[in-house]
Amino acid sequence: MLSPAMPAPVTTAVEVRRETILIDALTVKYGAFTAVDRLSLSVRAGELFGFLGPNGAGKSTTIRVLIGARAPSYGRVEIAGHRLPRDFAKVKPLFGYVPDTENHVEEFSGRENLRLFAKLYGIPLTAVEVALARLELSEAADLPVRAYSKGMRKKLLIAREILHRPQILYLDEPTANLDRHSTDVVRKLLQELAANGTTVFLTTHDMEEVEQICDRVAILCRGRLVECDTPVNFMTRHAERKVLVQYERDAVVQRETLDLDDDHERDRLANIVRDESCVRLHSQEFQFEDVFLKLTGQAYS
Amino acid sequence: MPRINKLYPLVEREVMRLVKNPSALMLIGLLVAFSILLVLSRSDKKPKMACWIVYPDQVLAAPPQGSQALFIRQLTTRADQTQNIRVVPFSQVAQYRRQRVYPAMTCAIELLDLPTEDRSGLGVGYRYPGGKSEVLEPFLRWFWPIAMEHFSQVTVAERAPSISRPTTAAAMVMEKLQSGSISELMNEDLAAAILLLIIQFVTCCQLIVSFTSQDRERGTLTALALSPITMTELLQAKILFHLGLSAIGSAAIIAVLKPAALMNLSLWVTLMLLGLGLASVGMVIASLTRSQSSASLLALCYMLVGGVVFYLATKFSAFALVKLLSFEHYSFGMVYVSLQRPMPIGRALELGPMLLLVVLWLTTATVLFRRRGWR
Repeated sequence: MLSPAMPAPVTTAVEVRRETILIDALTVKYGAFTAVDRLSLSVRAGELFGFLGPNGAGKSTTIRVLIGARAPSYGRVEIAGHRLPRDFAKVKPLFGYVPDTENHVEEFSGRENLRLFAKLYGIPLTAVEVALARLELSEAADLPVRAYSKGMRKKLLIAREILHRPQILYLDEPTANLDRHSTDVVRKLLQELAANGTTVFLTTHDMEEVEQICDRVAILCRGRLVECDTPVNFMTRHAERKVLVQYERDAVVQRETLDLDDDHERDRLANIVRDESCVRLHSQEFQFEDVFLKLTGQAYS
Repeated sequence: MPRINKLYPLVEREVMRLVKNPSALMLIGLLVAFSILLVLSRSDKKPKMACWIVYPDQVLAAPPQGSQALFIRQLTTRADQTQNIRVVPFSQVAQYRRQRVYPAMTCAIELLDLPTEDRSGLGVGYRYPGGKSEVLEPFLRWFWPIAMEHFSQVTVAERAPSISRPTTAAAMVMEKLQSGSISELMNEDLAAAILLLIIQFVTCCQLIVSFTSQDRERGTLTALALSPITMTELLQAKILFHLGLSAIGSAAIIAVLKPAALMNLSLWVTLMLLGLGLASVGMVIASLTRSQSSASLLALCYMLVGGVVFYLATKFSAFALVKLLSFEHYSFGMVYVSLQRPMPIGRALELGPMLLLVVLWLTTATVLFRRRGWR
C-alpha cells in the first residue's frame, strides 16, 4: 500500500517518449568480417524509425540482433529496458517481426496461418478477422497461401505481426512487391500504429517512403552509422542547389546539370545565359534519394 | 513444464500439415497395406509342425551292435516313414550363445541320457515353440512306444518339460537379419517386427526431418520461435505429434498381423522408446542441416550407415562395439519377442542401455535445436 506521503505515479510526457530500443556500440562479426561496427542509436516509443543503407550495410544483421536471432559480438542492446540476448524470453512477446522473405505455413490458408499465431499469443480469434480486414485480405482469407501473390503474402505477414498489438514492430522492406494501393494501406497502417504508441523500426530502399512516413532516419554504410536525423534535417543540411540547363551549340542542343554552389559551374551558367545560347533552364529539386546517395557515396569513397 | 494451451495449437498445426501432405499418409498406408497383404497370403492349411529327435554324438562312436546305436537306428528307420520327424545328433543342431536353436515350427525331443548296460535311465528334454506343449503330443505318442519297446526296463527322466523357450532365439534372428540370410527364418512375427521398425523410422525420423527442415528452410521455425512459445515446447510438440503418428501406424500393423500383441505393454514401451530415439536423431539431423534436401539425404545416410555397421558387426568385433552404442540394436530383439509373448526379464534388461542411449540423443537434440535448430 502506498504511504500517504508518497505521490501517485504520474505518467509524464518524458516517460511516454522513453527509449524503447537502445543500441550501444553494437558490433557483429562473421569470422573476420565485421557486419556491424560500433553502432549506437536509440529509438523512442511511438517513433517511426527508418533504417537505411545500401545492400550489405548491416541492416538485416542489426535486426537479427534486435529480434534475438543473433548474439552481438560486442556492445549492448536493450529492448524496453530488457537486455538482449539475456532477457530474450521477456522481450519476445513485446515485438513483431516482418522479415524480407515470407515465412508462412504454405499449406495453410491465410486465416489458418493467423489463427495459429493468435492461439500461440493467447488472443481472441476475432483479432484475426480484424487484421485480415485491415490489410484487405478478408476475401482471400480461405485460399491456401501458396496461391497468394507476393504482395498478398507480404500483407499477410504484416497482418500476422500486428495481431498481438506489439510494442515494437520491426519490418524489413515492408512495401517491397506491393502495388501502389497496398503500399498506401501499409504506410497508413504504420503511421497509425506509431501514433498509438508502437515503435516502428523499418528498413527500406524506397526513399519516397522514408520522406513520407519516417520520423527519424539512420543511414548505415559498411556496418557504420553515417548519420541519424529527421528527413527534413537531412534535406536541409545536405540539399544541393542545381540547375538543369539546355543550350544550343553548333546547331546541336546539349544538356548539363550545374551546381550553383560551385564557383566554376556558376560562371559557366552565367556564360551560357549571357551568350544567348540557353534554350531552357530548370531548377532541380533535391530529393532524399540524393542525400542518401551522397552520404553513402562519401562513406564508400 | 510444457504449457498445454501452447502445445495444443502446435500439435494441431502438425496434424493439419500432415492432412494437407497426403504423400506422408500414403507412405504409412502402404506399410499397413503390406501387413494386410501378409495376412491375405496366409496359407489356409496350418503349417505342419516338425519334430527333431536329437541324440548325443557319442552314440555314433559306440559299437554298432550296442543297445544305444540300435535304438537310434530303429528311430531313424521309423522316422523315415514319416514326413515330419528327423533324427539327428546334437552336432547338427545350430547353436547360438551356447543354446541350441531350431527352425521355426519345429519342436524337439532331446535324448540327454541313453540307458547303458550299467544304468537304465533315459533322460529326455523337450523343446517346443510358443509355450504350447501340446504340439509335442503326437510326437511323444510316436516316440515313447518305440522307446518302451526297445528298453524294456527303463527309468524315464523327463527334463524341464515346462520350459517354453522358443525354438528360434530372437538373438539368432537378429544375427541372421544382419548377415542377410533371413529368408530361411522369415515368418509373420519377423515380418511384423520389420514393418514396425520401418514405420518407426518413417514416422519418427524421416518425417520429422522432412517437416522440420522444411520449416527451417521457409523460416517458419523462426516465426514460431519468436512467438511466446519456448524452443523446448516447440520440440516437445513435434516429438509428441510424431510419436502419436507412429503409435497409430504401429497399432494398425499390429492389429492386422498380431492382434493379440496389441495389449502387450512391453511392446509399446519398446516401440515408444524407439520412436523417441529416432525422433531425437531426426531433430539432430534437422538442426545440423540448412536445407530440406541435405537433411533428407543425411537421414538416408544414417539408415544406410546403421545397416552397414550392423552387417560389419557380424564379421568384425570392433563394429560389434559400435553396434552396442546404437539403441536400434536393442529394439529389434525386444519388438520381435514382444510380438510373441510378454518380454522375458533377461531381454527386458536391455531396456536399460536403450533408455540411456535414447536420453543421450534426446539431450543432444534439445541442446542443438535450442541453440541453432530454429535459426
